[in-house]
Amino acid sequence: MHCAASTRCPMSTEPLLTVANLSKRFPVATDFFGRPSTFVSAVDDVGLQVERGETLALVGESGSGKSTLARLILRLIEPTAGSVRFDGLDVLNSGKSQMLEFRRKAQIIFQDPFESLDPRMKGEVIVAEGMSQVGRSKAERKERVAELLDLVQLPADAAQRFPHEFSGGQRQRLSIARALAVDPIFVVADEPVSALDVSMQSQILNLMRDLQDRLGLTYLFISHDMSVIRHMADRVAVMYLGRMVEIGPAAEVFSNPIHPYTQALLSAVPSLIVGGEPPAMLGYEAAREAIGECSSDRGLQPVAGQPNHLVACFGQDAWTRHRGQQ
Amino acid sequence: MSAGDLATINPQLPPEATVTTAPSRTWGDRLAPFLANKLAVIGAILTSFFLIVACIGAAIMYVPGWNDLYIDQRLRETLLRPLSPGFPLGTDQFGRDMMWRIAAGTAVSLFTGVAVTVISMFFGMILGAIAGYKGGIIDRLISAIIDLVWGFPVILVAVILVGMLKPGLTAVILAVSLVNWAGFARIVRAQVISLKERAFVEAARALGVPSWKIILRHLIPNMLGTSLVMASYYIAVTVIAEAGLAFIGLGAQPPTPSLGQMISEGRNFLYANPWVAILPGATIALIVLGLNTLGDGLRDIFDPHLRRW
Amino acid sequence: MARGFWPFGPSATTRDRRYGATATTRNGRHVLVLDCGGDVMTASGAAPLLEVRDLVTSIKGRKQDLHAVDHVSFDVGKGEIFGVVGESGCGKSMTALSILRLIPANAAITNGSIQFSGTDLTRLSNGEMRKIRGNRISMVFQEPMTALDPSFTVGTQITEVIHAHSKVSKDEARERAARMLDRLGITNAASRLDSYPHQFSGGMRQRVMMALALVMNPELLIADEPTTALDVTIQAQILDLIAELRRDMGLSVLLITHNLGVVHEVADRVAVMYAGEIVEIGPVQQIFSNPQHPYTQGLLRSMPYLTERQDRLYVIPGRVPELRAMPTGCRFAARCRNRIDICTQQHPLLEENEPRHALRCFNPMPYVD
Repeated sequence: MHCAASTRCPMSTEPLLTVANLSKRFPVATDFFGRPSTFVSAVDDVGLQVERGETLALVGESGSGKSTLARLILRLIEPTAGSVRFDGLDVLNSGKSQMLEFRRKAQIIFQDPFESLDPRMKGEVIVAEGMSQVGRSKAERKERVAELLDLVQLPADAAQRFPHEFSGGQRQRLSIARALAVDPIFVVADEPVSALDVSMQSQILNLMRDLQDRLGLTYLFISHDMSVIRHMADRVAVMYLGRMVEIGPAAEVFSNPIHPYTQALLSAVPSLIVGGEPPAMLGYEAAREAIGECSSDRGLQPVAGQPNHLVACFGQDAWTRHRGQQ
Repeated sequence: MSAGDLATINPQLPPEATVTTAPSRTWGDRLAPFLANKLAVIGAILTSFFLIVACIGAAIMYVPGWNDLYIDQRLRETLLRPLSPGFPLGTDQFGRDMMWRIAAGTAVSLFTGVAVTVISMFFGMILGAIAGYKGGIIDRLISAIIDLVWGFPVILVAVILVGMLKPGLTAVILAVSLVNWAGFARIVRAQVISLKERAFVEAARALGVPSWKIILRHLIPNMLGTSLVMASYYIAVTVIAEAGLAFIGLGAQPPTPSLGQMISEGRNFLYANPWVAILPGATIALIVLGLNTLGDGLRDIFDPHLRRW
Repeated sequence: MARGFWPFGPSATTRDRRYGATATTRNGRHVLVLDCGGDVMTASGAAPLLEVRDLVTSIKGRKQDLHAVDHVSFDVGKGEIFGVVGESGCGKSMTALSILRLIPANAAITNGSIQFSGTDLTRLSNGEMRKIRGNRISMVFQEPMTALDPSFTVGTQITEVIHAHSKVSKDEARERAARMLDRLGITNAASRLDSYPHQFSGGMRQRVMMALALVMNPELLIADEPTTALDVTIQAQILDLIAELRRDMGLSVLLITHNLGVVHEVADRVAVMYAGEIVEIGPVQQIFSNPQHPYTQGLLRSMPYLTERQDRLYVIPGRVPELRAMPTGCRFAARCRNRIDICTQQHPLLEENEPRHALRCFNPMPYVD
């Protein structure tokens, strides 16, 4: 059990991560005195839960707020409102030592393998970066680095090489090794394969699934690529303009998307299937029926017959008008 | 056949593991862009030459007895042209040996340039890094000071300082440093702001690495290249500033020779012997040219073209 | 003539002879070598607009010249959408840039011809090339924000192109620009001419780019990763637009992309590039339903499905060889599951294996998904 000594041990039923009413507004303009006057809501009242050992995929287009949400959850940026509960810890109200513990347990892998590694550091220094916080001896660190490189299937001499000597796929492996160096239980993967070529992509996706099985990791997997999501996700959460519009088991969301945005996303994917079955597209009436009458409440409503599949309320007319303006 | 089977069919082909990576970059590879840049090589040669000259100049200024070389007046041999017997670069209006005077002047100029640059780099980097990394009110405060100082004419500052202290190198160094640090601070601040957005800095934060360690391990090493390039330009700028201040009498005071002062004195004898003004002027021009082209070459090295095209 | 001659060979004549070969014998079978002509190169029924033959683009290296594009031959027919797919560094973008002679300063076209409706583009002067660029052949790039000048209005940038290639009055040029924007689905086109690039959304910006490229009614549009920087819903719109322009204006398109789905969606024929060479070329339906080259098969197999969750994805082992360390044999041999002895010893030629479908492989294997 991953249970910090200082914090209360979580109930076995409690999800690993519970996010409630999380919002982040960024100032986009300031008044004469330099005080922010206009804001844009990057993340608007989002709630979600992630169970231990599962992969929750976060999908949406650029500007949907999915990366901001990930950084809010990891407290790399401070939210405007809301709460994040992780493994029995109130993340947003944690002190220094508790935060260090949180940083050890929750890690992140970034999109661009060219950006996410310091170009002036050797492989072993990059991988060991987090270990110095945990306090290991030099010999222990060296041994652990070798172990990690092996775990991500990099050759041992990767320790002595600089980032520019690696291919994109190898860099991404290095960045995974760095995240795993502190023995996390939760990993946010922010578009980990979108900068990679197809052949590298499948290697990294396989590796991530292997690691999940071997180490019992929980993933929050962010991507804009629907087929990558389909491959990785147990559950899918769809974001649009900072809001959560649909969340549910991957199989249900993919075969029976309710929200028009999810439907648009799925139908837009250029596919390789010749004459395959397109996912079921419900008409507006059927969709309304499926989620029940649209209430004034902003919360997500369960789809009839699928208690774990939730959809945000939408009015078809307003939606059509909105997309027309785009 | 499923993909899983395929993987087991060919176990001799592990993914990526055994395939060799690109060869490691040697110093030869790093120097290649520099050596390919002919101007930069010329810059490096020029700069090294003047560094040696400056060392000789410093030696004759500080080794007792040697300063006769540039101080001794020979009133019967004034304003000799270059290539005169015994005086390769001629003599000035007091019959002093131009060669040794230029050597000493080069030492003074370069010393001033380096001193000013070290001082302004030190304060500029600290203040710029703090402003860029911390952001918010601290950033706005420091930025306001930077803007204010950067708008100030060096000459005005120098006149005020000379009034407060006394004319001389100390006043010049202080005056130019007082303005130049803002130039460093502006660039360092901008660099830190862009560097701290980089994913590797974010990764370090996610790993719980404290701020001071991030600045030390990630930010400063990644700014070192740019700072060196900037430093070479700023030394050149300072050499010119010092010459300008010396020309109007605010710089090094006689008997300490300085290139600006020599031009200033030489302009009275342009008809009799133009070389007394031309030679120190040309020296300044060559020092600045050398430093600037060297800076360009350094930029080519440090600009990490690490990606293949 | 030795088969599988190492293409970095010393003399041009040897190389030409090798690619000029029309027939050869393999394993006692008589096979057609398609490197020069043959109907696999041409579009279905249409006369070719662009004929690229034996194109070699080299990059000056410190020790040797590196062939980023190595003896590439293909045709683009009138009104055809021809896709070139491959992973980063395979030479697909360099091929596109070579056609327009927009290659970087340290690269040069060292062999081959580029026939564009009867003119060999490689023989034109820079001035003549300039007249063709943006006029008869134009290009759209991946990132519309960097290709548009942020400090000029969209109208200024489009009319600039019109004025560069034709003598028309200011008003006429403006009207033409507005018509083009309107044609590409930008509402209030006339007033939008006065907007700056940053005032458009990502998808609209790509449309503006296309307007800029299409305003002179070019015969050929070269699109280098035109949708890679766009969201999927916008990507779908742009792909629809390309297909529509081909239908309505008879536009020929050379579509360069790493996205197999995009090619499948709009292209008629496709060439798969690997390490500077075309390894497989043919009609899209054939290539996607029955790929023959192990690399093409590997690429298709390693894509995750949209419809179901797989246990593991297929992985092409290893990585692309470095340009400066190309193997003598097949360039894919080190990563190939079907490798036989000859693969590491000789360089395979691009040969037809069924009508209009050619591949560069000694030992093809039926495709199992």
